Formats: sequence, structure tokens, C-alpha cells
Amino acid sequence: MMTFSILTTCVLVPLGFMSRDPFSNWLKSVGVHMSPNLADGYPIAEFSGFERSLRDLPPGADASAFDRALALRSFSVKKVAFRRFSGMGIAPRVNLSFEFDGRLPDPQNSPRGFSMTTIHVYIKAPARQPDPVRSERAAKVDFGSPGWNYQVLVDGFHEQARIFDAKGNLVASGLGLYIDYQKKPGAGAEAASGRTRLTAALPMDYLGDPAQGDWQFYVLVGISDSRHPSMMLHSAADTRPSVYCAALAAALPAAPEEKPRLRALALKKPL
Amino acid sequence: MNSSEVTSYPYYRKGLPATILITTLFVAFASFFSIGRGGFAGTRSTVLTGIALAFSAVIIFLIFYTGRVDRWRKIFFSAYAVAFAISFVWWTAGDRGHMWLLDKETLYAQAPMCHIVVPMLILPILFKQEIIFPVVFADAAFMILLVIVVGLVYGRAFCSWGCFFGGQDQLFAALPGRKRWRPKPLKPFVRYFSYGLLAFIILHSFSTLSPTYCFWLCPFKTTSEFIEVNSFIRVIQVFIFVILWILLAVFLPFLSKKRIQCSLFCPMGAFLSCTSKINLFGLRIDKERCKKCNRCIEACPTFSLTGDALESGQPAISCSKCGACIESCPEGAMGFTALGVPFAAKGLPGETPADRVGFWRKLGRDIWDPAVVFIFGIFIVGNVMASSYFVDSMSRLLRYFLGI
Repeated sequence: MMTFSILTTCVLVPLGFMSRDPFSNWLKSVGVHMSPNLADGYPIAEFSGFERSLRDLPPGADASAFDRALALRSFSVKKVAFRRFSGMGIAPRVNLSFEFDGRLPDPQNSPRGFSMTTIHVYIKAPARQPDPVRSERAAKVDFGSPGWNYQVLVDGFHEQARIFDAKGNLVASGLGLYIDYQKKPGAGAEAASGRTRLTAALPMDYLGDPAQGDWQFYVLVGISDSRHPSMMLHSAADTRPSVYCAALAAALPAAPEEKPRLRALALKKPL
Repeated sequence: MNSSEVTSYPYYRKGLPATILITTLFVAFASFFSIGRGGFAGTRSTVLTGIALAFSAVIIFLIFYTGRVDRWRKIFFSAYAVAFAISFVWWTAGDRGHMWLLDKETLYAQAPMCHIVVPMLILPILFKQEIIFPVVFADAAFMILLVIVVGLVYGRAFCSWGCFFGGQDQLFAALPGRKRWRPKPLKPFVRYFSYGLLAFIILHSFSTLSPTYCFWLCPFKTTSEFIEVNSFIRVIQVFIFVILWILLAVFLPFLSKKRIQCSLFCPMGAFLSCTSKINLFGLRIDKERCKKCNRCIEACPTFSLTGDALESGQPAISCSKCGACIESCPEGAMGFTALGVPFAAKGLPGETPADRVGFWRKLGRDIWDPAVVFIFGIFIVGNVMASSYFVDSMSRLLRYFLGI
């Protein structure tokens, strides 16, 4: 027993102290995550595998910068709700997180550090009935199933995300817009690309709880154009207002003059 | 020998060679950990880490050379608490610019991690796979690992050797020369209050998915950081923190020379107590030697010794293995054990021929003692926890007062 206690004291306990990272990795591998990290949130769903189309770029445009602006890797929906007994005055929120490869380009030095990327998220919330006709007109994209309730605009020139209804009225503002760039560990130019995570916090009191009911999200990422009401750059070759020059999360249209078709990212199962 | 006299504590006193050997081993271990934490990066850091190591080395030397475990432990533990408070408050108010924990820090999971949170994390981790504290993930993992390892091996000894808050009520309990208030024998409701509080905060934290104790009941927010006061609820929370700190960590310990906050309120202490039956190290009472003088009961700062404990031969599960009872016992009837291996009953000088053994045999006998292993190990834990705060507080004080 003395030998065992000496071994424990001199070997096992120090090993325990030095095992922080393996233990941390093990916790993550079994699904333990942070909450309520309010910049991150309690995960509800995550989507990846977005389709990209780049066409009719303006003359002299930097195609590689356009590419980096649309390098969306994943989109996730998370919620954060501090309970009342905590005494924290932080409003419950739905966090929409977008993870991009590399740094987002910022040729115009926007206040939020990303001046080329504009994100539209169309939300069909179960609590409210969408107006199919109005919502189809308001957006310049084709939806697989009609109707949405809210259009969320995220761009680098506004402090918060903005929420519009199907009539185009600004109905709410986001609660926070967080941009984090994480450098990839390792050495060399390749490792320096890293990841950018952009999180828009939306008021859960207004939108509802995404963990309850059937929700649908349509994500459209385009190139920023502050001259246009939609904040999104349109085709240089085709000046019709319905045609974007670059889009993401859209199925490629059969013909150039067709609207980008968005794929619904559906949260079907309530938690 | 007159049992009313307390001798010069021969029971844990080691010979000089053994003490030097133990101290040298301690310095080697502690240096290893300091290197791992960047303690020797740069001249300034090396010097200050060396000073902190030297302080700890002197403490452990004196513990074994004089045999007075509790006396020197108290000095180290109190100094640790002061260093932590200086370092933490200076970092928050000075470097960060505010003592408040802002909503922004919570948003970005930048709250500093504390071990007292760990009991509240367990059920949410098991059933929701969530860590319900806004902290960097790796810091949470480290604290959970620390509590598991230290809890299983040393149990509640962490409360007397490793907790950076426990030294506060230890300090105020040790300051006065005599007791001004002698608490009556504790009623069960008082004695077991911390266990009830532990159960409540674990369940409430799970139901609300927020750490209840941190938001409403932690007295040590007073010397670390408050939540930003921007609403009436926050005012009430801060008021509760301050009142609890003054009452439980300052006033009552000062009057009673007992560690009131740690022994009767702290849920972390109650949590660690739950491992007392399976700890590697413990404390035992030699019932044959015990003369029921009750000095140990008077000396125990955590109310862990009672008449029943003396009869049974072991203290209550709330024992924090501080060594106060060992020092106070004139008969050498108390000692640390390892997995039930009885402590080496040294006997009084002259009682046995043990004092006349050869050098190597005496050295081996001095070292091969559960108390040595226990104190060495738990002091390493305490030193690992404390060293960075010693270094940081010294650095800040030197820079502020001497400009160096």
C-alpha cells in the first residue's frame, strides 16, 4: 500500500495534471459542448455542402476574392437562453452561425471587417403563416416550397443583422454580430488560412424557439453591393434585377436568366 | 511525560537528512511543473518563480523538520489566498479594466474557471452534454480533471492545501490569539447544511442550466469578480455575496478561530467529503493512545472531531486533513494514513530504541511513512495551484512599488 500510494502521488497525480488536453478532447469526442456560450449557443442543427455559382462578374473583378467571399463551409442554428434565476440580463437568442474557409475579404474596410460577403437567410417559422405571394415577390430567388416569414440580412456595413418581413418592412434588429477568425494550428502558408466564424444573434422572443416545431431556413450568400436594396451584386451581363452574379446555397439554375433556386434547410424534428 | 504539556511535536519530526531529501524532491517536482507552465521563461519570471519555489521549499522543510504540519501549512495557505486575491483583483480591475464580469465576457466564454463550479456541471454534462459555465472549454476540462484526481486521492484535503479561496477564512481564523466565541456543539442542521446546499445547487443548476451558486451564493465573488451591476437583481446578488463573505469568511472565523465558510457552507467541500471513504489518504485516531483530553476537538477548524469520532477512531467525513489535531495531541494519537496503513506510531523520545538505529535505517524509516507521502503529494498540488499567483502578485507589487 505504501508503494501504491507513492506511485499514485509521484506518477498518477502529475499525469492527471498533464492530461488536460487529452481529457478535453475526449469530452468533445463524446459530445460535450459549451453552453451557454452566447457567441455560440446550444446547437440545434448544422448544414454543409453548399452549391456555388459564380457568373458574369463585373469587368476587372478579382475572381479569387469573390471565391473567398463565398467560401461557406457550414451553417448552423443554435439557441441560447439564460434562465431568469441567473440574474443575467441577456436576452434569449437564436444564433445563426456561418463558418467560412479562410479570412473574408474586406476591400472596402467595412466597420465589421467583411465588405464583400452579404448573407440572406429566409426563415419560415412555424408560429406564423407566411404570405406566399408577397414573400416570393420580395426575394429574387426561387424557393422549393413557397413562403417565408422573415428575411435576415447580414452584411459588413451594419452593426447588427436586420430582420425584414415578407412585405419588406424592417421589423427587428439582431442582438449581436460576432466575427471570429481562428488560425489553423500548424506552420506554413496553407495553415495560415484558418476559418472565419460569423454569428448573427437574433431575438428569440420575437422569432420563437427553433427547437420547437418545423422550421425552414434558406441561406443565400452573395457579393455585397450597397447600391442595391438587397445589398447583393447583380449580374453585369444581365441587368434584370432578378439575376445575381454570384450566389451560394442555391441550386444551379438551368438557364442563366433563371433565378437562383434555394434549397430548404429544414429543422423537422422538435427537440 | 506530563500529558498536559505539548512537546516539540516529535511525531512528524524527521531527521535532517530525511527533511533535506524530501525538500529536494519537492523542489524537483515543483520545478518540473513550473517549467511546464512557463515559469522559467525570461529572467524576471525565473527569479520570481525561484522565490516562490524557495518559499514553498522552506515551508515543507519546516513542516518535516519541526513536525508542526498545521502551523506551516497555515502560513503557506494564507499567503496563497492573499497572493490569489492580489493577482486576480489586479488583473480584473487593472489589466482588464473592470472588476465586473461583463455580459461581453460571458458572451465570449471568457469567465475565469473556478473549481467550486464543478459539482454544478456534473448533471448537465451527463444528461445534456453541456458545460453550463461560460468558460474556455479547456479550462473547464482542467478543473473537472483536477477535482476528479485530487478528490479521489486526497479528498477534502484540497480544502486545506489547494483551494485558493479557502485560505481566506483560514487567514481570518488564524489571526486572533484566542477565541472570542466558542460555538456550542453543532446541531445536525448546521453540521450538514453544506450537504443540503450542495444537493440544492446541483439540482437547481441542472433544472435551470445555469450555475446557481455562482450567481447567487458565492461569498468569494467579493474578492474575485462581481457580475456587472446593471439591474436591481444584480444589486441583490452583489449584496448577498458581500454579506456572506463578511459573515462566513471574515467575522465568524475571526471570532471562533474556526473555518466557518469552508466547513459549514461551501458546497465544494461537501462534494469532496463524499469521497472521504474511498480516498487514498486519511486520518486516523489511535484509540489506545487517546486520553480523551479533547484538545483535538478544540483545535479542529472544521468541526470534524467529536466524542463519537474519538470513539470510532476516525474523524467525520468533513475532515480536511489540515493537521491541526495532530499538532494539538500530546499523546501522538493522531496521524495520516494511506489506505488504512496505520501511521508510524513514533512513540515518545526514549520510549523505544528506535532513536538509536543506523543512519540509513533511520532515513528509510523517516521516509517510509504515509504522512510523508500524503503531505508531499498534497503540497505539490497546492504549489501547482499557487505558484503562478505568487509569481504574478510579486511581479505586480514590485512593478507598482519599486518600478522594477
